[in-house]
Amino acid sequence: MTARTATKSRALSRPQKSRLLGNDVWAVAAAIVVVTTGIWVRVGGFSQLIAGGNDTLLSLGRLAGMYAALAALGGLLLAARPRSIERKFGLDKMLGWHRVVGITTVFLVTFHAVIDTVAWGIGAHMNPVAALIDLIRTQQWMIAALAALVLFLAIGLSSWRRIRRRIAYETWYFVHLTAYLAVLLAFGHQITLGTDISGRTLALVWWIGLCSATFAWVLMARSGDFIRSLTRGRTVITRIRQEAPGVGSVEIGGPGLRRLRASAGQFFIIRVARRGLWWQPHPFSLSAAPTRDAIRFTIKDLGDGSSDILRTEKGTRVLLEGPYGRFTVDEAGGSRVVLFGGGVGIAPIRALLEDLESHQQPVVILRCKAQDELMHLAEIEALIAARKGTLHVLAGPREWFSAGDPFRPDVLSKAVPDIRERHSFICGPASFEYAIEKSLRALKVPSKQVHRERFGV
Amino acid sequence: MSKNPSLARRVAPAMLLGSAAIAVVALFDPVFGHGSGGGGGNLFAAPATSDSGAKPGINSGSNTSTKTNTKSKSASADCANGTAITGSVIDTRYGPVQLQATVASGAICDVTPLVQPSGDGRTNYISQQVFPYLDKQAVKVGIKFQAVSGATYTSEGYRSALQSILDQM
Repeated sequence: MTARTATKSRALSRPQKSRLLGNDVWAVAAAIVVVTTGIWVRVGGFSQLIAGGNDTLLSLGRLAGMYAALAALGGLLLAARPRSIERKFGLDKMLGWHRVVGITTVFLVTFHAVIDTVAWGIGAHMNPVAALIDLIRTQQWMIAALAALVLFLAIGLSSWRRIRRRIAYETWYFVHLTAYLAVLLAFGHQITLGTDISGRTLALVWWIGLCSATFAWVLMARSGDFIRSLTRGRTVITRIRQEAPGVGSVEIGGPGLRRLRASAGQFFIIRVARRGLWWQPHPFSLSAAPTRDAIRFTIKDLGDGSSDILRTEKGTRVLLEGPYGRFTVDEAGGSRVVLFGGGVGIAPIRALLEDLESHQQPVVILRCKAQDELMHLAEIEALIAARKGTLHVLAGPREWFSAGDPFRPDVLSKAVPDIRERHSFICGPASFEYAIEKSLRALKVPSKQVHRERFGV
Repeated sequence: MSKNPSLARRVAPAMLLGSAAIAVVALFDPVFGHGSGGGGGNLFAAPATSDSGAKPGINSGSNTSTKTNTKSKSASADCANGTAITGSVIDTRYGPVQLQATVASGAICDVTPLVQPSGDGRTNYISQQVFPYLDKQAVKVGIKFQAVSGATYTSEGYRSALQSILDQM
């Protein structure tokens, strides 16, 4: 008992809450779209749209082009994870939006390019191919815009699940980084040729202001996290231990932890400062409540670079970017909880348990394919016992469970009769989270009481 | 699985894409490649329909279309009794340009093209879009009008044709 209170006092303070209201973000985003659409209407976009024929194509192309640019800027911003926004919504949600916005960008950019080339061809009595060549040869920045289109398509294709599965994470990541170049290359033709912008002082001020403000924010957010990870003070690997077959835990200590704020349930993006590893950032969740003495991550050997960390010597320096995520007990606001952990997602659940009070009567449901995959089981049992909670372990292949679904609504409500009053925390593979969320919806658990941290975004 | 992927191999596709994009722009962009110079209006999105074409058609540097209207209205009476001057034929890459200007009280109040580049659809299209714009610009700002990007040769031919008229004044 004394040991536990001692650790509590060494606990890291929690990250500051974002001062943003959710509505602020939506209002600003909506205002940007409205003003941009307003410029299009002001320049005759709407009357051209209903004029029919080539005019309709041209006005559609213009609008698609501007929306594509806005979507691209939004995508960059979301991926840059500015702190104020991340603390409000959580990185996994932001990356989900990033995916939607990114796909939108690729489709809008393609639509814009095709429509405007065809329209240009109609005006000049050319077929689309001749029109494309003509555009490139006679118009400033059009070849740059075409290069941007090719980059956007490459980014889109490499993120398509079928292709993404076949290429290394880092290859995909670096191709994704060319989005910055694509946005810059596309900027030129917006200024010189954009009917709504070119030569219109107010519109130019608006557009250039919007683009440069977004870029500045992106650069600040990107470099900010990295600079903080460098200047926080030394953080080194202090212990590495095997927890289950193919699963190991890494403890990190050092003076750098003193200036850190973090909660159990959050995750960091980690770089190991060692030859061949420094350029590979990896997201890992905390598997114990963070203290000033040590923070711990539990890592599954996925066969990629992440497992190399488990083979690093003690004393190797690591850079911690973060923390990220809103998957903390604060979300429950002191209510009773039920925690779901699947596979390596058990680790963050283990960390969350530490922050719970016994009046929250935690029910913990763990899922794994085989019993020996259960990591930190002894620790979890002790934490649950101290909080008078209950533990259910669902081990074994899916076929062992009735209807092939271990989380059927009737099973869940039997195991946790008051599940509708509880806050649910779910962490594990996408299919695992999906199955549970489906059951929780069927049981009419309010969605505000469901919290999840998606792995493998 | 490759335990220790090399940075070079992972970066290569992205580097290739990025540098190809930059190289292509540096080599083939009309500005960097052919040095046509910027400024002026542009040809893009010029609607073929009549009245809306005046505004969004070609982007002039300033939106003084209303101003020009009032000016031309008061000047139109003078212009009707003005004297016509025909310029010389200027050859451009896409064909000859010849202008006729009306001069009233020592200033050009109207310009109309007598000959403009024509032939293939593209050339016709450019002439159609560029000449009405340049005619207005010539009356408004004179010889110092800004070339239309995307129609540099035609603009410069127009400038020489206008100069030949000014020389006769």
